[in-house]
Amino acid sequence: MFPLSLLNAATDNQILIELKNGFCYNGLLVNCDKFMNVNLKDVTLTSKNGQEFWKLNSCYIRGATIKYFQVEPELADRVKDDDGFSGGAVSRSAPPLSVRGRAAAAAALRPRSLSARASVERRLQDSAISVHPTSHTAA
Amino acid sequence: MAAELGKLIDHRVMVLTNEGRTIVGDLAGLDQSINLILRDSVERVWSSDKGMELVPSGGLSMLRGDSVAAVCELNADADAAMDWEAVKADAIPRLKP
Repeated sequence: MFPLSLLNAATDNQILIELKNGFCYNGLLVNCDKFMNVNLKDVTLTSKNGQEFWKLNSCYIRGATIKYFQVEPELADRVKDDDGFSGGAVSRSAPPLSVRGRAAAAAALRPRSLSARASVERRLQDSAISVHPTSHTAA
Repeated sequence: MAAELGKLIDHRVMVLTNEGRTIVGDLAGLDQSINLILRDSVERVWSSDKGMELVPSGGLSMLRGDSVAAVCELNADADAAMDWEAVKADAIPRLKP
Protein backbone atom coordinates (compact mmCIF):
# COMPACT_ATOMS: atom_id res chain seq x y z
CA MET A 1 0.00 0.00 0.00
CA PHE A 2 1.17 3.52 -0.61
CA PRO A 3 2.10 5.71 2.37
CA LEU A 4 -0.18 8.54 1.20
CA SER A 5 -3.05 6.08 0.75
CA LEU A 6 -2.56 5.05 4.36
CA LEU A 7 -2.64 8.67 5.42
CA ASN A 8 -5.86 9.25 3.48
CA ALA A 9 -7.43 6.18 5.07
CA ALA A 10 -6.55 7.63 8.47
CA THR A 11 -8.86 10.67 8.19
CA ASP A 12 -11.22 10.91 11.18
CA ASN A 13 -8.90 8.64 13.16
CA GLN A 14 -6.36 9.18 15.90
CA ILE A 15 -2.86 9.74 14.63
CA LEU A 16 0.47 10.39 16.30
CA ILE A 17 2.89 12.54 14.36
CA GLU A 18 6.47 13.19 15.39
CA LEU A 19 8.18 16.12 13.72
CA LYS A 20 11.82 16.43 12.82
CA ASN A 21 12.25 18.76 15.81
CA GLY A 22 11.16 15.94 18.14
CA PHE A 23 7.75 17.41 19.07
CA CYS A 24 4.88 14.91 19.15
CA TYR A 25 1.35 15.76 17.97
CA ASN A 26 -1.44 13.39 18.96
CA GLY A 27 -4.87 14.11 17.55
CA LEU A 28 -7.66 13.44 15.08
CA LEU A 29 -6.72 13.67 11.42
CA VAL A 30 -9.03 16.11 9.67
CA ASN A 31 -7.37 16.51 6.31
CA CYS A 32 -4.25 15.72 4.34
CA ASP A 33 -2.80 16.34 0.88
CA LYS A 34 -0.26 14.84 -1.48
CA PHE A 35 2.60 16.72 0.18
CA MET A 36 1.68 15.07 3.49
CA ASN A 37 0.55 18.45 4.90
CA VAL A 38 -2.04 17.60 7.56
CA ASN A 39 -4.79 19.22 9.55
CA LEU A 40 -5.37 17.85 13.05
CA LYS A 41 -7.94 18.65 15.72
CA ASP A 42 -8.13 18.07 19.49
CA VAL A 43 -4.39 17.80 19.60
CA THR A 44 -2.07 17.08 22.49
CA LEU A 45 1.39 18.44 21.76
CA THR A 46 4.33 17.02 23.71
CA SER A 47 7.76 18.57 23.69
CA LYS A 48 10.88 16.67 22.71
CA ASN A 49 12.00 16.10 26.30
CA GLY A 50 8.53 14.91 27.31
CA GLN A 51 8.25 17.58 30.00
CA GLU A 52 6.01 20.19 28.40
CA PHE A 53 2.47 19.70 27.08
CA TRP A 54 0.00 21.78 25.14
CA LYS A 55 -3.62 21.29 24.12
CA LEU A 56 -4.53 22.62 20.71
CA ASN A 57 -8.01 22.78 19.20
CA SER A 58 -6.60 22.48 15.75
CA CYS A 59 -3.31 22.67 13.97
CA TYR A 60 -1.75 22.50 10.53
CA ILE A 61 1.48 20.59 10.03
CA ARG A 62 3.65 21.01 6.96
CA GLY A 63 4.46 17.61 5.47
CA ALA A 64 8.15 18.33 5.06
CA THR A 65 8.53 18.72 8.84
CA ILE A 66 7.21 15.25 9.63
CA LYS A 67 9.60 12.56 10.77
CA TYR A 68 7.06 9.78 11.14
CA PHE A 69 3.45 9.09 11.99
CA GLN A 70 1.67 6.21 13.71
CA VAL A 71 -1.88 4.98 13.22
CA GLU A 72 -4.10 2.18 14.49
CA PRO A 73 -3.00 -1.15 12.94
CA GLU A 74 -6.62 -1.89 11.91
CA LEU A 75 -6.37 0.92 9.34
CA ALA A 76 -4.22 -1.26 7.12
CA ASP A 77 -7.33 -3.16 6.02
CA ARG A 78 -9.14 0.03 5.07
CA VAL A 79 -6.55 1.40 2.67
CA LYS A 80 -7.78 1.89 -0.88
CA ASP A 81 -4.80 2.00 -3.20
CA ASP A 82 -6.47 3.42 -6.28
CA ASP A 83 -7.42 6.75 -4.76
CA GLY A 84 -4.04 7.34 -3.06
CA PHE A 85 -1.47 9.71 -4.45
CA SER A 86 1.34 7.69 -5.94
CA GLY A 87 4.85 9.09 -5.60
CA GLY A 88 5.97 11.92 -3.31
CA ALA A 89 5.74 15.44 -4.57
CA VAL A 90 6.23 14.30 -8.16
CA SER A 91 3.36 14.96 -10.55
CA ARG A 92 0.65 12.34 -10.63
CA SER A 93 1.05 9.59 -13.19
CA ALA A 94 -1.92 8.18 -15.06
CA PRO A 95 -2.86 4.79 -13.61
CA PRO A 96 -1.66 1.77 -15.59
CA LEU A 97 -4.24 -0.05 -17.75
CA SER A 98 -6.32 -2.40 -15.59
CA VAL A 99 -3.61 -3.85 -13.34
CA ARG A 100 -4.05 -5.01 -9.78
CA GLY A 101 -2.29 -5.35 -6.48
CA ARG A 102 1.39 -5.98 -6.44
CA ALA A 103 1.71 -5.54 -10.19
CA ALA A 104 0.19 -2.09 -9.82
CA ALA A 105 2.55 -1.17 -7.01
CA ALA A 106 5.56 -2.46 -8.94
CA ALA A 107 4.47 -0.64 -12.08
CA ALA A 108 4.00 2.64 -10.24
CA LEU A 109 7.46 2.36 -8.72
CA ARG A 110 9.27 1.74 -11.98
CA PRO A 111 10.98 4.80 -13.45
CA ARG A 112 9.52 6.23 -16.61
CA SER A 113 11.18 4.94 -19.74
CA LEU A 114 12.92 7.02 -22.35
CA SER A 115 10.97 6.02 -25.41
CA ALA A 116 7.25 6.22 -25.86
CA ARG A 117 7.10 2.81 -27.52
CA ALA A 118 8.98 1.13 -24.69
CA SER A 119 6.62 2.67 -22.16
CA VAL A 120 3.55 1.56 -24.08
CA GLU A 121 4.99 -1.94 -24.36
CA ARG A 122 5.68 -2.02 -20.63
CA ARG A 123 2.16 -0.90 -19.78
CA LEU A 124 0.70 -3.59 -21.97
CA GLN A 125 3.07 -6.11 -20.42
CA ASP A 126 1.78 -5.16 -16.99
CA SER A 127 -1.80 -5.73 -18.01
CA ALA A 128 -0.80 -9.05 -19.61
CA ILE A 129 -2.03 -8.21 -23.08
CA SER A 130 0.28 -9.47 -25.74
CA VAL A 131 1.06 -7.33 -28.73
CA HIS A 132 2.06 -8.74 -32.08
CA PRO A 133 3.57 -6.21 -34.42
CA THR A 134 1.53 -5.89 -37.55
CA SER A 135 3.58 -6.71 -40.54
CA HIS A 136 4.32 -3.89 -42.88
CA THR A 137 5.87 -4.45 -46.19
CA ALA A 138 8.63 -2.02 -46.83
CA ALA A 139 7.62 0.39 -49.53
CA MET B 1 15.20 3.02 -7.40
CA ALA B 2 12.01 2.51 -5.44
CA ALA B 3 11.28 -0.49 -7.62
CA GLU B 4 14.27 -2.27 -6.11
CA LEU B 5 12.92 -1.66 -2.64
CA GLY B 6 9.53 -2.89 -3.84
CA LYS B 7 11.04 -6.37 -3.83
CA LEU B 8 11.38 -6.08 -0.05
CA ILE B 9 7.67 -5.51 0.53
CA ASP B 10 6.29 -7.94 3.14
CA HIS B 11 9.87 -8.76 4.21
CA ARG B 12 11.38 -7.88 7.54
CA VAL B 13 13.67 -4.88 7.01
CA MET B 14 15.97 -2.75 9.09
CA VAL B 15 15.81 0.99 8.51
CA LEU B 16 18.60 3.36 9.48
CA THR B 17 17.27 6.87 9.99
CA ASN B 18 19.12 10.16 9.68
CA GLU B 19 19.16 10.42 13.46
CA GLY B 20 21.03 7.14 13.73
CA ARG B 21 18.03 5.14 14.93
CA THR B 22 17.75 1.49 13.92
CA ILE B 23 14.17 0.37 13.31
CA VAL B 24 13.18 -3.18 12.38
CA GLY B 25 9.76 -3.87 10.90
CA ASP B 26 7.75 -5.53 8.14
CA LEU B 27 7.78 -3.33 5.06
CA ALA B 28 4.12 -2.88 4.18
CA GLY B 29 4.53 -0.26 1.48
CA LEU B 30 6.58 2.55 0.04
CA ASP B 31 6.56 5.20 -2.69
CA GLN B 32 8.97 7.09 -4.94
CA SER B 33 10.07 9.39 -2.11
CA ILE B 34 10.96 6.29 -0.07
CA ASN B 35 8.27 7.11 2.48
CA LEU B 36 8.01 3.71 4.22
CA ILE B 37 5.10 1.95 5.89
CA LEU B 38 6.29 -0.41 8.62
CA ARG B 39 4.16 -2.96 10.43
CA ASP B 40 5.05 -4.17 13.95
CA SER B 41 8.18 -2.07 14.07
CA VAL B 42 10.64 -2.16 16.92
CA GLU B 43 13.48 0.24 17.53
CA ARG B 44 16.78 -1.30 18.58
CA VAL B 45 18.55 0.97 21.05
CA TRP B 46 22.28 0.43 21.39
CA SER B 47 24.49 1.61 24.25
CA SER B 48 28.09 0.97 25.19
CA ASP B 49 27.36 0.20 28.86
CA LYS B 50 24.29 -2.02 28.66
CA GLY B 51 23.03 -4.53 26.10
CA MET B 52 20.61 -3.82 23.27
CA GLU B 53 17.13 -2.67 24.25
CA LEU B 54 13.97 -2.95 22.21
CA VAL B 55 11.44 -0.13 22.03
CA PRO B 56 8.26 -1.13 20.21
CA SER B 57 6.85 1.61 18.00
CA GLY B 58 3.19 0.68 17.66
CA GLY B 59 1.39 -1.47 15.07
CA LEU B 60 1.43 0.61 11.92
CA SER B 61 3.77 3.52 11.29
CA MET B 62 4.97 5.54 8.37
CA LEU B 63 8.48 6.89 8.14
CA ARG B 64 8.99 9.91 5.91
CA GLY B 65 11.50 9.33 3.13
CA ASP B 66 13.69 12.32 3.84
CA SER B 67 14.49 10.87 7.28
CA VAL B 68 15.61 7.54 5.86
CA ALA B 69 19.32 6.88 5.39
CA ALA B 70 19.25 3.18 4.52
CA VAL B 71 16.82 0.28 4.14
CA CYS B 72 18.27 -3.19 4.54
CA GLU B 73 16.80 -6.65 4.12
CA LEU B 74 17.00 -8.57 7.37
CA ASN B 75 18.15 -12.17 7.30
CA ALA B 76 15.57 -13.59 9.72
CA ASP B 77 17.57 -16.76 10.53
CA ALA B 78 20.86 -15.01 11.17
CA ASP B 79 19.06 -12.37 13.21
CA ALA B 80 17.26 -14.92 15.38
CA ALA B 81 20.54 -16.75 16.01
CA MET B 82 22.20 -13.69 17.53
CA ASP B 83 22.00 -12.99 21.24
CA TRP B 84 21.37 -9.29 20.80
CA GLU B 85 20.68 -8.53 24.45
CA ALA B 86 24.33 -9.26 25.22
CA VAL B 87 25.69 -6.99 22.51
CA LYS B 88 27.02 -3.62 23.61
CA ALA B 89 27.67 -1.00 20.97
CA ASP B 90 28.02 2.75 20.64
CA ALA B 91 24.93 4.51 19.46
CA ILE B 92 25.05 5.50 15.78
CA PRO B 93 25.55 9.27 15.57
CA ARG B 94 23.06 11.44 13.72
CA LEU B 95 23.77 12.10 10.09
CA LYS B 96 25.41 15.46 9.50
CA PRO B 97 23.59 17.38 6.73
